Amino acid sequence: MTARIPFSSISLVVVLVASLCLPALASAEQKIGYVNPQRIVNETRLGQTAKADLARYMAEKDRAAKQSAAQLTALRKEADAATGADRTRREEQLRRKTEQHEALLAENNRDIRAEETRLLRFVMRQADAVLESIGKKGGYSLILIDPNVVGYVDKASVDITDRVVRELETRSK
Amino acid sequence: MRRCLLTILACALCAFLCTYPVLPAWAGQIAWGKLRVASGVVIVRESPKLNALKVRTLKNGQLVRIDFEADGWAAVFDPAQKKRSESAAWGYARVENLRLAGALDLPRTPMTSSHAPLESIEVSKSAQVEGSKPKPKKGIASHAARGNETEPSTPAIAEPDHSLHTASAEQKESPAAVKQHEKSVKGIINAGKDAAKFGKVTPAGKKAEKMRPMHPPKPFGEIRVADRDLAVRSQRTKESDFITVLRPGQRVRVDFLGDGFYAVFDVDETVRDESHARGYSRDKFLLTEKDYAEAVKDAVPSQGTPKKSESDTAKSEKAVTPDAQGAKNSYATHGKVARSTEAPAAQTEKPVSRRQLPAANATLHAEPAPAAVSESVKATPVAPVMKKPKEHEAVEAKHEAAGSKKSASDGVVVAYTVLERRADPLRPFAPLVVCVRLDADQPPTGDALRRVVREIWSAEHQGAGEMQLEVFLPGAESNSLAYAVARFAKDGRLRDFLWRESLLRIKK
Repeated sequence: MTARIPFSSISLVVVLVASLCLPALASAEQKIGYVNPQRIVNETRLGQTAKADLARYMAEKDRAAKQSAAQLTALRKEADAATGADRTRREEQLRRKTEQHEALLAENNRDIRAEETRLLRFVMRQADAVLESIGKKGGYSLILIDPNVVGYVDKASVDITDRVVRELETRSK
Repeated sequence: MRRCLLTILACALCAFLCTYPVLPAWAGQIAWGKLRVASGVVIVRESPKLNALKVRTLKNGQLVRIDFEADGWAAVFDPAQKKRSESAAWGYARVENLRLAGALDLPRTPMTSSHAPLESIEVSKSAQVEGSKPKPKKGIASHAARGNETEPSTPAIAEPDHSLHTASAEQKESPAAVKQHEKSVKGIINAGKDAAKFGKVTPAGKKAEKMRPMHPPKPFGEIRVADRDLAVRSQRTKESDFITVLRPGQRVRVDFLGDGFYAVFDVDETVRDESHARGYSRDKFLLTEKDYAEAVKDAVPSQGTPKKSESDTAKSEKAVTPDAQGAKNSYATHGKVARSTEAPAAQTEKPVSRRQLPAANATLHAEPAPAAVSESVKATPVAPVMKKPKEHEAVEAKHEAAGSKKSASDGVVVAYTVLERRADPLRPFAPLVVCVRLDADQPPTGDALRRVVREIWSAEHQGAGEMQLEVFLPGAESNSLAYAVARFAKDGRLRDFLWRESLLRIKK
């Protein structure tokens, strides 16, 4: 005579086994990708153009800074050459001009950084669209674009930067 | 006996069937509203506004029930409608276009064979909206006034009270009649456009509507010719909004001279009403055709073109300022202003999320940094200033910047739309931010773009102090990345200028 196992017990066992197995199954299906943003910038036409835009802007700022620096040099020479009350006046002018020049440099710096941020954001926004389509097509659960957010990423096995670069190239003019 | 009963029953049945259609009216008289007859083709609109959606068209002589009269509009119902509710109405129509049903005159020309009311034409809401152009029909002499809610009707409608419009069949076929009709159609379309433009019926418009001419409109004012690029403004002041520019030699109809400004109309304009004017322009630059011809004749031997030089006063009038590089590369602006009450929301720079800004690890290593810049980079970077949402004036304007790149024949047209104007009332020294969108297929680059922004500045600064001009590509919104940014000093000096070619790399 075999003892009959109650149906409720069997159900309980099945549920427990299933609950133990499902996470493992789920994790087995998860795909993770990694994209190097610096390579996106360096290896795409879009990124290159953005860099050219930034360089042009920097040159523009540089021109203004050079003009200001030249004026400052001239004022300094004048102040050195001046004597007496005129020298005091010139030195005051020089001090004001120096302040203006420093303010200009600080502003240039701020503007350039801000512009760099904007351009990078723009490039990466285009990459985002590509990432989304690649993620959906490739069944990726997670695509990292910042390796610092996790302790370790095996870049060799999960790096999809090439794919993203290719896709971006086809999407850009 | 039985046969007799059957006969009586059959008769009763026949009588019932015959009188059945009359019974409802007989049994239950509808006691509300008024019965009216469409006088001409009457447009029924979704709401009692001239710019409201057209939902139905009543044919001439069609019987309708009206109620809920207000401001010259009435809700239009099916005559058999029993429920007195505006929700049951077909729509709204102008009362003056609906005659008393009792005073229904016999039409001058025979109506259709059936005396039954003609069925109205239901118009699909999506298909026919305000401003859609009715097809001109031949031989129609009906209301020719602007703002009239009757459409050009069929030849059968010659209004009894409009004796001058009671054209004979020959007249109806004449080209003059057709032209007259076209004018009337244009008037209606313009009225619709005006109403749509301003979103409401102006008092002047209402007045004009009430004072619809009973006679064919006569030409008014006089024809004048602009002797230069001449701004048309919204009011009789130089400071008022720029609407459009008249090109040298462009003919316009002018009238209502006052404060040194003429009200400027289209040459074909027939309604002498300031509300129909395109705007106002300085009188001294609008010459009679004869004077203009002489001016041109005088100018041709010396310059080859009509005189274009302007006094200082005229400079502010001018929408086109040839830049210092020469007239060859100058851009002109002209177009029409359409104010919009729907202002785009003030843009706040959003906090940058990691997702949006993965640039933490990436840098745009621009090509060799010049010495002065590298010196500037040494300074501590400061985070971009966060713009707070602020009240701003919103103007939506359409300007066209037209000009020639190398020659008059080799023309480049750059149109732009002003998306937004932001002035911070809390920061009086903050620059005025003007966002414009280029409407050019191939946006200009480099020096051409520089000239374009200068032209836009001259058209848009309106006496403001410092100004930041943000230029967007076609299809872009003012919250996206600008294609070009230019900062102008108060005197118009270009303090800062950048443009982003990378935006052109994106396929639409």
